[in-house]
Amino acid sequence: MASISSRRLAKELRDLQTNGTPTGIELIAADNWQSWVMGIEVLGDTLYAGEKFALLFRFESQYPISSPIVTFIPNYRPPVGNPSSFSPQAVYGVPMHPHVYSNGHICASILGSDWSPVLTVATVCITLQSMLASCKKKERPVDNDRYVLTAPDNPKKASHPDAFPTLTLTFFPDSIPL
Amino acid sequence: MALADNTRHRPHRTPTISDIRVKQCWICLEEEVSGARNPSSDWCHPCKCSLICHGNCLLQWMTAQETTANRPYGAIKCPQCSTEYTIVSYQPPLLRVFDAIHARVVILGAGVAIGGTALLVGGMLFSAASAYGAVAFAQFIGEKNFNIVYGDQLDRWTAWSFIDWAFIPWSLYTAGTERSFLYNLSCVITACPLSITSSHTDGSLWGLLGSPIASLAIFPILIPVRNLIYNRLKAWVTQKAASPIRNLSSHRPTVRTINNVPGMPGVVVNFVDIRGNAVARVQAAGQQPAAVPVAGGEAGAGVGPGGANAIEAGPVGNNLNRLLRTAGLGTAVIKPLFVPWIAKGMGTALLGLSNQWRPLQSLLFVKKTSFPSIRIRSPGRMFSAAWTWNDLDPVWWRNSLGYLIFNIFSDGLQLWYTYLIERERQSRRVVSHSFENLDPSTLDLIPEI
Repeated sequence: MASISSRRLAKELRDLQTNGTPTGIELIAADNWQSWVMGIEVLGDTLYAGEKFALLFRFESQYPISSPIVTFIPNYRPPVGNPSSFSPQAVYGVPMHPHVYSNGHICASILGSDWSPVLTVATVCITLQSMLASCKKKERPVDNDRYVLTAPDNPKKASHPDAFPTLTLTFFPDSIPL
Repeated sequence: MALADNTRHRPHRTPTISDIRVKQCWICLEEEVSGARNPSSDWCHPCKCSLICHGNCLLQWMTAQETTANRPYGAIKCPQCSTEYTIVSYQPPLLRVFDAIHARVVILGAGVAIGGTALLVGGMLFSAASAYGAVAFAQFIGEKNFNIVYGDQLDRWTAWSFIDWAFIPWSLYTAGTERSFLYNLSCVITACPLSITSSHTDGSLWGLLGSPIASLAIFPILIPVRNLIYNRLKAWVTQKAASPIRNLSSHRPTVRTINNVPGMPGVVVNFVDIRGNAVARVQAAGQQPAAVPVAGGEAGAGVGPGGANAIEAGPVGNNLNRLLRTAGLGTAVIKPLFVPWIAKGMGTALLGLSNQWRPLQSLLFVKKTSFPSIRIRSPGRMFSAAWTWNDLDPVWWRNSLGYLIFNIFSDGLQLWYTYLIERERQSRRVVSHSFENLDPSTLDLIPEI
């Protein structure tokens, strides 16, 4: 009995192939039920005009009950013969966005607490497209350097500490007679 | 297109889930056309919008939410219309009873875990403090006396003693800081409880005066007096340091550098003239140096460089402040803990002095031996070896006296050091060089007549 994720992903793939992908989104690789690669381009007059990015979707066996692991792929070279407009000669990088770390991890609520099975691969791509389109300034997140040093492979397992813990000694006595 | 058809054939009752032509579960995306061969009986429409799903899929989703996202089972809402889902299940009274018991057991277990750990840690701290207190007390009243008062058999020591002794390190640490007289007095009383003290006096006032509590009781009175005098003297000394100086020794400002501050790579610390009052310059690699004036230092050890009340700092200087404050805290904790041994040392010194100089002996009430006197109660009763404080050699008295003398001495040294520091600081002048190496034509000189 095929697992819940494979049945659902088969359905989604069929839908994408018959009805086509949304504008700006392309299917680069969907060979198995564990990971897909989607291509995303932000259309219109945005900061990312003309730039293309590659998204890696990783599905656990409990998909869609569990959310997919979605990351941008740094230094991605598309496979030869892929059905999209992404050229195998080019290398595609990670967009510079305040919610995207330089290792490709994305900080978005729909990938975490706001995930629900009503979302699909296509709708996630559209949401990320609009996240990029609404960006005002191209910059990395504030804690990017520290995060990429200690981040695990799976962004769902990463912790985001708020501030560097400071040890403050407040207890200091007055003059003490010896 | 389809809408027009439906309005023509719409039944007079509201449509149900079985009237939908193609059902699609929003969780698994399976489609089922009505009239299919193996229809699922699990379709449900749990909310107000048009989303429908398999009941099983939805239950799976809700269970996952409960375990991973920590949302209570009933609070899962439809992602589109936010209607809360309602679930029914078989919940007999016995289940509710078990649930209630289990909930209470869980809370009890957590409480025991936390409470147990707290007790363990607290107990360890208490034992350490108590052990210190016992040894410190033994030093204070003299070891021979301690053996008489308490004896070697631990099980005969009263429970109250252990509690008292645990407070001794705390009392030593806080004594002398700006606390009230009552607080210091209570420290004294806990260190040497009245119950033990009074039970071994012969009832008269003189008996109480001869006990250790009398020796200790002078401290709550003396400490504020000492603080007052010390502050007055310090102000006087600081003011005196401003008087003009004759012998100025020429020297460069002493610059000692620490190139590798542990824990702060890339930071170079130049200690310009570090003393109790120190000025430290901290320079991170490539950054501007941030001068960190560190003021007020006599809280440190008597004559050495003391801990500092670091006040201002730049962002890099915060690390230095932490370092200096840690050092200050360390010395502040260690110094009071040595007090009983200092007292004992001074007391022994005084005893030695008194052997040379007779009159001192009477001041110290030195007794050659420490023996409890044996009192005969009445002919019919047994001999009972009850002792009073007056029978014992008052080691505690000369220890206290010795400690007072030591304190005066060390205070004097500290004041002297403060004076010298102030003096040095006030006397700094920058040295001028001559104009030898300059071309006189570049200077705007007064024209020679």
